[in-house]
Amino acid sequence: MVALVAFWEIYKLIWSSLGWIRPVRPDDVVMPHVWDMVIELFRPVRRGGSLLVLDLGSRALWTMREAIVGFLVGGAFGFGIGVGFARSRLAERAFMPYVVASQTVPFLAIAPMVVIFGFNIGIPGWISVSVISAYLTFFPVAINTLRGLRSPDPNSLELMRSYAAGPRDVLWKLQVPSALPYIFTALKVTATASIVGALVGELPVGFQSGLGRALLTFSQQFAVQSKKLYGTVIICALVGILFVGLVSYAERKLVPQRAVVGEIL
Amino acid sequence: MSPDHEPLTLDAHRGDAAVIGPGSAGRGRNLVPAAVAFVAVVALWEGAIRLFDVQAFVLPAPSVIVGRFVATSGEIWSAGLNTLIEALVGLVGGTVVAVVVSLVTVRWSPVREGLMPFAIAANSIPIIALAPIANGMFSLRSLVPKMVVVGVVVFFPVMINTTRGLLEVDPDEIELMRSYAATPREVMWQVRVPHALPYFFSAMKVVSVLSIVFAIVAEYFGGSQEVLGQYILTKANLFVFPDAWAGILVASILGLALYLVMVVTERLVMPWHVSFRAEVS
Amino acid sequence: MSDAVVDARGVGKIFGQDEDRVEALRDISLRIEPGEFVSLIGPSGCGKSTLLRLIGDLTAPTAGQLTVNGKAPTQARTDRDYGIVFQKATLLDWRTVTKNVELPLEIMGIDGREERAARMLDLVQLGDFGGHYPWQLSGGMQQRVAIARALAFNPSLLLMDEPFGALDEMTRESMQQEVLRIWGETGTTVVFVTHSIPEAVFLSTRVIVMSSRPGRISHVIEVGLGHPRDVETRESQDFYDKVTEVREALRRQEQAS
Repeated sequence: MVALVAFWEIYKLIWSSLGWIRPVRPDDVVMPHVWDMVIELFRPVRRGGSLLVLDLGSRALWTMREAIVGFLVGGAFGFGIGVGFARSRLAERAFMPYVVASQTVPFLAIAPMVVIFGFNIGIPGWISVSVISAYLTFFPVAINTLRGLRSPDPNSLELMRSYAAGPRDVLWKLQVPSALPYIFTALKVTATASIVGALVGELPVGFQSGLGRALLTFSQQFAVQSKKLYGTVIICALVGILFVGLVSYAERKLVPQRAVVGEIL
Repeated sequence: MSPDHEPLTLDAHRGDAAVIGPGSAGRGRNLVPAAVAFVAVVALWEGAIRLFDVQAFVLPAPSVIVGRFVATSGEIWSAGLNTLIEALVGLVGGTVVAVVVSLVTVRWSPVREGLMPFAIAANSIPIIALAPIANGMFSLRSLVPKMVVVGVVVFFPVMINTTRGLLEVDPDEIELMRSYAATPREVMWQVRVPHALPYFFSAMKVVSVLSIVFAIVAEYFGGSQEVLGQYILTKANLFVFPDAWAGILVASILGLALYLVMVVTERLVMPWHVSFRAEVS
Repeated sequence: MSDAVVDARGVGKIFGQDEDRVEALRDISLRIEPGEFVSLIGPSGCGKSTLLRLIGDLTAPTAGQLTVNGKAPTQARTDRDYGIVFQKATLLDWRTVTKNVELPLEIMGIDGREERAARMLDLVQLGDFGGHYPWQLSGGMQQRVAIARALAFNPSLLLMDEPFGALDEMTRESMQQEVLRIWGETGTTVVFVTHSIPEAVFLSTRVIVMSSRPGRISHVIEVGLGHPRDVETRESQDFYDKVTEVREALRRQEQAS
């Protein structure tokens, strides 16, 4: 973190004293000083308006809400599919092709269109965006759930059989706990994807709230208001880190064996 | 990671040795039914539109999309070409940097200690937020900022996966090499790199598709008219949906093409591995 | 005549079909009486693990008749008549030691789980380790937890498939002593698969020597060394002679095949 800030400032120093302008111009518009960026957060958005940081804060909450709802719904759906496929080979054979086919479309790229489409048929913006996050989440979670559910070794399965354990016991006492590390691996990645999806979904004209809109607006004002853009980006980064941090925290609580098994990225 | 095995076939016990079923024969077995499913969905889509007489501004029919696709071919493909260039440069650049960083961190562990936590944290940041900054730094209309965004997006998964692949070598193999008084470079190339290849290709297959997607999404934040993202967004904002979808079609084709390139390259480089694909990431 | 714990007549097991056919076991006939400690020993591929799994209804015979406690093996399994211990302890990483021992009790809906688990852990002398996680224990300790778990629901039969195979010799010998002590205290019938001749002789009342291709019983040797057994037993002439007898039996069928 410190290194990054230092790198930024050193670059500015060296480049401006040498008069270089490639690759990035070191002037204060394109590369404001880091502390200027932070100060800007505490200035009003526009004359007489609320502080930037507060405005961004409420936008951040809006975006996070969309992302979290989509994440949870997509995650639950993905988990359900994983369990369904693990239980029934027939279901897997029948429906897996559709699941895989769902990923052939670059969904992130059509995200704005989905939101516009939603507007046209009267769906509030934030729901469309949640759908985007859910769509991006469900596939990795489904795949990893399935892998994790199938991960127990044959001896463990024989042990369960020796107890004459019913399928429900085998699922919840053996398979699901074994699958949790895999599932959380997917969740950590899809948490970030949910946020990205939310930001992109907020781009279309007509969407007023959220951080994505702020990014676009300030980006258009770059020549005069670059510091606001940087401030927004910092907030976005914090949102991402916070979300993944929450998921990691949940993982630490629910998956004790991670301490030893280690990171399965 | 362990390959998939058949669940609960207890009769796979022969004598004293357990027989574990073969891993699912890679994506190959899944692609044909997926293609069939895709065609079925498209057919259903077309049918539903006609049946319910849905307006084009709500959801266009596939036939209309294909029609527009053909009609605007020149425009779409030249825009697609620009986007492809952005994606490719970002892909290649990001991959090269990722591999170099990976090799460096494996060779010199202090670097790794500092870098890995940062990489994992940085991976949590929604990279797309950098797009407007890159646009500001490098001029909105140029292709360069999008390349930077793609490069960053590609960098992290490739670096993290490759590093894992290089590091997770059986310590016994390393000791064997040491017993031959092998130099660190020989250890690297003879043992670590071959082991890392599956991990590398796994990441490459994922980022090849991401490169196109993120090039387009980066373009949504601003860019010249000659790129696919702007084309799609403009058409969408004007409610000319069939054209927008045609643009998406081009994007899908490009993404699929890059993915196939990765698959073919993987098969060429690691012919021994295809039947036993360890899926990572 | 009392109900034999295991009664096998002409039991056979064939895996696979056509060119892939493997005849793992042929014409196995065997009676195991309550309270016995029986070892199955033989070269790789002689089907000893398969036989164990037939008894446990983890796979089904393709020929002959097999009863466990006078019932079909499936019935014995659903009645929870036996506990099983594998070469790998197969403890669940996300549960503490106590919770691991409670696992079968949870599944079988048996009350008083905590006390039973505590008692079992005391039996294997791991009473203080209930709150630990499996990865914090050594291999030998993990196997002891696996044994505690197998006995938690008081089965009349204990099946063990090379449980000490992965342990070092010192730990192995002390584990063998442990198993004998537990057997003495609980009176469970034990069927024990092993590769080790001294282990088989030290532990058992009877040693069943098997030959391979196809798996058959070639010799049944009464050990007759009396109980209790300890370090002195291992160093006695009788023990040595018995080990030699088993070794000769194994060699003889090796030469024959």
